[in-house]
Amino acid sequence: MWKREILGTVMLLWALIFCTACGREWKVSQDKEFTIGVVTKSSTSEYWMSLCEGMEAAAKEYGMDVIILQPDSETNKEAQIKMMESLGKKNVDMIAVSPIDSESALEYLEAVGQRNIPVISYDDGFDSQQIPYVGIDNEKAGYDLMKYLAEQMGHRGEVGIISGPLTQRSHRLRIEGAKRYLEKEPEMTLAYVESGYSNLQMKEEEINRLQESFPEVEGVMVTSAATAMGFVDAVADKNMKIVSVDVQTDAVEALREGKITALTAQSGYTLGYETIRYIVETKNQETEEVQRIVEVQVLTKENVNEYIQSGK
Amino acid sequence: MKSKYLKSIRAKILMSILMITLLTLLAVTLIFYKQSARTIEDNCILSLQQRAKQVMDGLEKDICRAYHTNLYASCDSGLKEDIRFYLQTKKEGYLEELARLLREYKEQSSITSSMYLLIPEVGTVVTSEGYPMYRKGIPADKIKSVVQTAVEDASPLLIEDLIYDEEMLFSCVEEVKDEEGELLGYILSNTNESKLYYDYITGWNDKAVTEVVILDCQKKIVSSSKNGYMGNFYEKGQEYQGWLNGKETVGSDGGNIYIYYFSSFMETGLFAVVDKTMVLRDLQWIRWFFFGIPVVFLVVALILALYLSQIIYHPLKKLTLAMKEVSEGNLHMRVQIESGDEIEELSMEFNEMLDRIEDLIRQVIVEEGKKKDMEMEALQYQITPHFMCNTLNSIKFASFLKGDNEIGQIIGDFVELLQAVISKKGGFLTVEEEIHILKKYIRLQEFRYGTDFEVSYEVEEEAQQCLVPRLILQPLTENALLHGLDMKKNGGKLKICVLVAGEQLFLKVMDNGRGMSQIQIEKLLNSRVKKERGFTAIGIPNIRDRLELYYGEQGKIAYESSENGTTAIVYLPIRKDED
Repeated sequence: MWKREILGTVMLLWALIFCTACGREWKVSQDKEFTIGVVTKSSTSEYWMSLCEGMEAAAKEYGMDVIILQPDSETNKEAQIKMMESLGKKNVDMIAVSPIDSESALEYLEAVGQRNIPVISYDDGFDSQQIPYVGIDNEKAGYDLMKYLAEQMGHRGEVGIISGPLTQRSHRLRIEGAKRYLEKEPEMTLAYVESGYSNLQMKEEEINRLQESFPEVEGVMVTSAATAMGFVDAVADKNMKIVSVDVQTDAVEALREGKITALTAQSGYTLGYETIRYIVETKNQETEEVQRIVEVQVLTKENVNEYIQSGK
Repeated sequence: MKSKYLKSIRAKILMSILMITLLTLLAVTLIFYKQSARTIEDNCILSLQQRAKQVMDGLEKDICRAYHTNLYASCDSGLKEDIRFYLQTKKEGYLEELARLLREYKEQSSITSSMYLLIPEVGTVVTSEGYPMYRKGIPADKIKSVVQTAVEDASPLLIEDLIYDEEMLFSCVEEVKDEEGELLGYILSNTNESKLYYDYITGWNDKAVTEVVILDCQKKIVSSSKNGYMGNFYEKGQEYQGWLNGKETVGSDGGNIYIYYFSSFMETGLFAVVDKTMVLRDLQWIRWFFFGIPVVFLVVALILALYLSQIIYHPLKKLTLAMKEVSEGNLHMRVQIESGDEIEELSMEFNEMLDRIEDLIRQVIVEEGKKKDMEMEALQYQITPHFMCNTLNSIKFASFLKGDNEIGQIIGDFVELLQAVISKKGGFLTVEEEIHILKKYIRLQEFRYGTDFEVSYEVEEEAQQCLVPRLILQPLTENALLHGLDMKKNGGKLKICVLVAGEQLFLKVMDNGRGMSQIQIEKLLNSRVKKERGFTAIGIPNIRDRLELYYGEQGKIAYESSENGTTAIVYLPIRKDED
């Protein structure tokens, strides 16, 4: 009778319950993403740290994987070459390198091996025009900086340039830009160009030497802020106008305090981010640019606060 | 009885409530159980994923460190110089110096268990360890295999230990080249299996995890929960093929949960198998809990259902019983129900219905009475009574005038008799009046038959004024005279008794004639045929009918008869007023 029906229904329901305790089959898999191998110039300065941060942020956003290998300092080219080799063996999908030696493009490429992995340069380029470049227009940066310095100096006087190693294209171009500007200034002279100081603070004796040798110099362009900071403290008591590149925290602080006159805002974070973005667009064939220029701004005491608040 | 109970409304209500409760409970239980199971499983998987990520990220960081250290060691100019000098001079002092450098570098990386410097030209390996500090005469084939692997694959990689036979190492390898690009040797930063096991695998050891391995891109074991398998192909690689790919894979095949997390820098992945039943162990307890609650609630529901069904059922039962009683004849039955629902309505309608039935019955009685009256009237008006009586009176006076008193007397009796019969007034006479008429009738019969009957009358004083239906004794007497007594013989006796006993009036007509058989009595009492021969057309059946009409159960006619005589008995309730 219907008693039996009830019993049947109850048993069926109990059976269902026990069955659901048993498993369901499922799988969620995330494929290996496009892997970008990155070689930086160093790992120790704030610029490079924020650059890596920018790269990782962009990688996450675009669903890319990024392997970053960093030499300890900007002087060890051998390390960079070995890192290129490692990335080549790992068979990454693309390599981005900021070369310590802009003149040795071939060596870098050979290190990657015969693996058909595209290579681009960022932050600093190769002399060979065939390798794409993502970064600021260093020549223009030098030009603009020198222009501002000249204005601050009333378009007269002696200036000096302290730069990183000339093997690095970025520094070379900044000097070239500065020189190009100075051609326009008849009443200004370039007293000296000291190079090889990338990322390192100058030794005190060297600073003294420069000052003794060139006492008339009132304005100096230092092509990297790390080097500039050393210089800043040494010439604090003198009325020296200093312009530089890179917005690391202490440099910005010095700018606000007036110790530095102008700073080209090359943000590591932005550059890192843009590099990855360029790679993504190249991969998706959305662009065929051979270079991507990242805009920079000349920071002065007037606009530095605004810059900070806009969220560098 | 039992099956009848099961079919009753009460059982049906009970069953319905229970069924609904049961279904609801089971459905809710099912849903919640499923949800809990899913939540627990999801949480477990999430935590496993995080653990896997944590372990691999940690390992990656450490290996990265080893890689860096190794790389810088390989660029170390001092190291290069020492190698060159050794190759030139073969002075062991340089080997010691190299060992010292290796020791220094080893300190910089925590995951490095040892560092080797392989100088293939002299088949020598310098180590960072105390013993051996360096070993010469390394077999060429070993060197060759290490070199080949280092050239082809990216660090870190699985290689044979150059010093210890049958051992494998997970190492970062870098070439050491001099300024001209000449190969001086290879520097290796090694991690042995136990280091990996103790630092990275043991953290995974719990009851639920049945298997955990770290595999390189060729599916060789780098480290596993079973020590001693570094470098071997993972024997379950085929079996678990579907899970060992991608950047991150999570899934289940019903019995186990599988987690795979791949590190791109190391090109190695962590694979773990977790037994679902262990994970869902907690769920077992919840399972009993979830099934216990429906049972408890079912019991509660049962009690409530019994109570509710009783409430609904009780008025219905009352109504059912009342109807039963009515059908057995008790028309005065009424039902009192105040349940406020349709059953109360039903009971009110029922009561009204019974009221109407009783009214109708009363009406019928009245109508029947009227009908009888009308029949009576119809009978009585065949001749205009007035004419008849006047004429007879004239004859009576004429008789007296002629001197025939007897005839005049008889005619006078006859007139009275007629008047009694055809009188319009009421259906009832007093006993006194009834006896009076009877006497007249008997005298007439005596005249007709020319005999005298011996008639005696016993009428109690109390009975005299009681009301009886009109002409109730006449047919009985007629019957007694005509059928009972033998007219031709003399000695017929008739006795009329009227007495009061309790609430009843007894009227008896007794004769000493030949009696009637039982069959005859029954025939007489039950016949419906109207008698037409006699003084009136009123017969015994008519008496019976009238008694029933007026008195219902309380008025009856009966006969007792033997060969010595017959007694007709009529009893009826005492009435002194006409109803």
